[in-house]
Amino acid sequence: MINLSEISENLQRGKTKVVKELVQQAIDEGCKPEDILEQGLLHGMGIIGEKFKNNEVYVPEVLVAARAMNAGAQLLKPLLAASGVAATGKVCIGTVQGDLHDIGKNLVKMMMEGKGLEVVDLGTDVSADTFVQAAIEQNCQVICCSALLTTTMNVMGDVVKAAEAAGVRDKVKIMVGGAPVNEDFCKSIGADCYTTDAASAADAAVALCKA
Amino acid sequence: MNSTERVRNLLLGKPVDRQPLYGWVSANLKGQITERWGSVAAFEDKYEFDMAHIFDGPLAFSKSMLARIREENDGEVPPDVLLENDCYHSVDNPAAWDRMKRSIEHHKQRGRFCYVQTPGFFECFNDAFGIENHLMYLLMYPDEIAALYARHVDWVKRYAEHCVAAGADMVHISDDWGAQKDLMFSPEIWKEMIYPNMKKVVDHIHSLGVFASLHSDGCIAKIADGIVDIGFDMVHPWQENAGMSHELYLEKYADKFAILGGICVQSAIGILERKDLEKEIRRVFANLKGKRWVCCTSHFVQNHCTVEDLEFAYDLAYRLARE
Repeated sequence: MINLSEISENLQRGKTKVVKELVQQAIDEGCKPEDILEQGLLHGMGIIGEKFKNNEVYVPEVLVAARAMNAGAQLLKPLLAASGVAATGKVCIGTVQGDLHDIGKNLVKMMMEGKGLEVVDLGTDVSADTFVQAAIEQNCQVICCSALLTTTMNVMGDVVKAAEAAGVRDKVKIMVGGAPVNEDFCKSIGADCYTTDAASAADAAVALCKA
Repeated sequence: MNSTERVRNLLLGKPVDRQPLYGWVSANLKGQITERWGSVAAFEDKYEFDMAHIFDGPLAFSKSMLARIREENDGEVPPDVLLENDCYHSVDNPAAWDRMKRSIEHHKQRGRFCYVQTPGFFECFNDAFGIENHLMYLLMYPDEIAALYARHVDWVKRYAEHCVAAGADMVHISDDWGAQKDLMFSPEIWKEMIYPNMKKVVDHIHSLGVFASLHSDGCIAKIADGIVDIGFDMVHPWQENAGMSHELYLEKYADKFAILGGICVQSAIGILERKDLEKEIRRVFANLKGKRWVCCTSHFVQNHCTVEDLEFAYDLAYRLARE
């Protein structure tokens, strides 16, 4: 019988092929898909996220671990859907209009998926209205806005205003992040949450979805 | 003492008559500066910029060749495939250097110290792989990446020879390794894959009789000792708001290399009200004046900075550099 911690350990080493094989083996042996997800994939990604937050691993380690997690999750998806397992919450994420940088946004997305959140990736150069429309149409509890440039960070304020104008500000939380963003800026535009790194953003999003 | 002599002396740790001044102002503000001053050159002359940052050399890789590899490999450029192909543009095409030569001539007439940019190892291969894939490939294809970086040494060395032949005083290698809080990849990867190749390049640049400088945004504190070992003469931007404090520089590295930077485009110029911007520029001068420092922006001034704010900042820096 497979030990699910093997999945976690191989995921942390970014061994995509091995993770896929072990997940398939666990499925074949009759492990519950939610156990494989929780004790294997999410457990491993959680450890990588913590290590990243503490500067013990770097971006490449996170990227290869997330790749392994996605490979394993693809096998689990139909089984989880069939057994009615719900995600921890649902968020939409994007890099704001005028900004094409996406590595920070992608890291946050990976960390969020590693926490069991369903993430709608809106990509880069996303307008304020697109963020809000996506949140409404997809029933997202949180909007996450990323920016690398000082020239584009003010679009985050437009997202807050667009949520107000659409009458959903009390239903959706707005998170902001990226190199030029800080807590003062977050407060000044009326957003709900700023975090300094991708792993903290994932923790915060989980908390906001549960609130 | 003209600008070239001033910057050369500063790089060598010798006395200078005043703090040199420079700025990456034209990339985003060319239109506004030209409207107000007639040309960027007029702005540079007014503030007596001591340096000139010159691009305009040939690109490393053939875009059509990379496109073909992507097409054949599900949108990726796998390192093993890249290694099998010679994707380099010729660095020896004389026409590719004409613009650079003209730029250097223009600035040399003003006595400026000219430095020419070339992408380093990580930055150059980001063009081929895309940054996320590149970061993953460092772990997934270590042997192939090491071989590609080793092969790249010859291209950069030849590039540097052309820069020197065109009249450059310094070859500037742009190779972003830092993120906001830490390196993007581990110091071990850097030491194993980048350090030995960069060392060969910098040794070659020095053998040509010119200086070598590094641009890396972000926090690179963990490899700063390695940067000293490589022999870089100058580092830009030593990004203070990414954990690269002036104190760290002054305590450990001021006798090893000079720094170019100080006016932060991410948190100061174009961001702060003038009162706070003045305070910030005065603080930087208080920390670094008299040291091996060229006052410059930390990156391109962004286009939300007004030309009036730019002038305000440079009027102040110009005065402080001469006081």
